[in-house]
Amino acid sequence: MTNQAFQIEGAGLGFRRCMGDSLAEAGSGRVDFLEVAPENWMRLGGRFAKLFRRYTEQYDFVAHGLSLSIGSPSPLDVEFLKELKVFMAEHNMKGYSEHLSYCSDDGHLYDLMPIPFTEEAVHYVAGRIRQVQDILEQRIAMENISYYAAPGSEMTEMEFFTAVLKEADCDMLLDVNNIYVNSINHGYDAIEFLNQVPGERISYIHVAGHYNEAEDLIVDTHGADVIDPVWDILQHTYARFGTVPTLLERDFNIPPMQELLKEVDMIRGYQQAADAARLSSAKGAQHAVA
Amino acid sequence: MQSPKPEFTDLQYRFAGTIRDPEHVATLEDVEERRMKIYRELFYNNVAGFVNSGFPVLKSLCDETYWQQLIRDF
Ligand SMILES: [Fe+2]
Repeated sequence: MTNQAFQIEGAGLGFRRCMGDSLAEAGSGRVDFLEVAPENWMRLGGRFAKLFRRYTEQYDFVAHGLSLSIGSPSPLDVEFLKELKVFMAEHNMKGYSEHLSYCSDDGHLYDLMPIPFTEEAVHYVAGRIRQVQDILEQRIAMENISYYAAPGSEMTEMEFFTAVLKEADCDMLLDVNNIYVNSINHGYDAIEFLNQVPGERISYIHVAGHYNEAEDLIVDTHGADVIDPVWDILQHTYARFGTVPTLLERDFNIPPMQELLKEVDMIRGYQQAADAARLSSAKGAQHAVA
Repeated sequence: MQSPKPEFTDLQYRFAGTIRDPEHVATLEDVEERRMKIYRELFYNNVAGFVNSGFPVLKSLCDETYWQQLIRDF
């Protein structure tokens, strides 16, 4: 298995069809990479196909899937994966990520449901991830989802997640917003959780906004600005695991491009601060030795 | 011959089943009702999003209650 996947860096943005013109106008240099749902772009022709080609020639892209349903009881859609492989090669995509969840049983439910955290499910899902990696001939990344219930749990979310990553030998897409949402909804400490993440497997990070349902139950909608506790978790991630490529996700209530780019700038700011802190502490250590 | 489905998938069928059809499939014993409600609402909003954007004229011709019923049945 080659590990040439996810050769990306810096601060990225989730690319939506409505950004076709606004991102081009906003000026280059403010976004290092883009992410798309392959399902939304794979079968497009005409104007959108041309527009997409223009962007993939200019930017590094990653594919972030919506429909794979890696934890589903139904068989994997092998035809889709073969099509995806061609699509990714055509646009020189730097990697493919999906959610560690399922969105279908025998029919689609269009939402991310939590896989029961059980030993049996670990083996089942890891086997399917391996199958996907074999077909795509590259490592893929699994994202930690936000979940509101944990049916049939025999272990913790982190135990489940790390067991799957290890057994499948795949990467992780770390969503810091989902850590925050889950820490509220399931009453755990976000930083403690983060500290257990196998850092060497993180290929990139997602940050996003969310919607408050109640004090102890919040819903992740990707429809609001990023909030302070989430930025705190992001900074902690950089301090602990290094400056990982990070992408701003925004799916609903998409504000004008200039406002989105301000949040991308904030990501870049935190990355630069983390690099600077690392540099000065390295110098400090050198000084102490001298 | 197909190998039998792992046991945990039974939980998945019931979890998805009670999102889709709460009147006939009960919420799992270890899941709070208010949490299940979030999934049902997310599912409803997703389907509503598809249907509204796919059939705007039909929607404009139906009254709101009937439309919501249609989406639930979808
Ligand atoms: Fe995400």
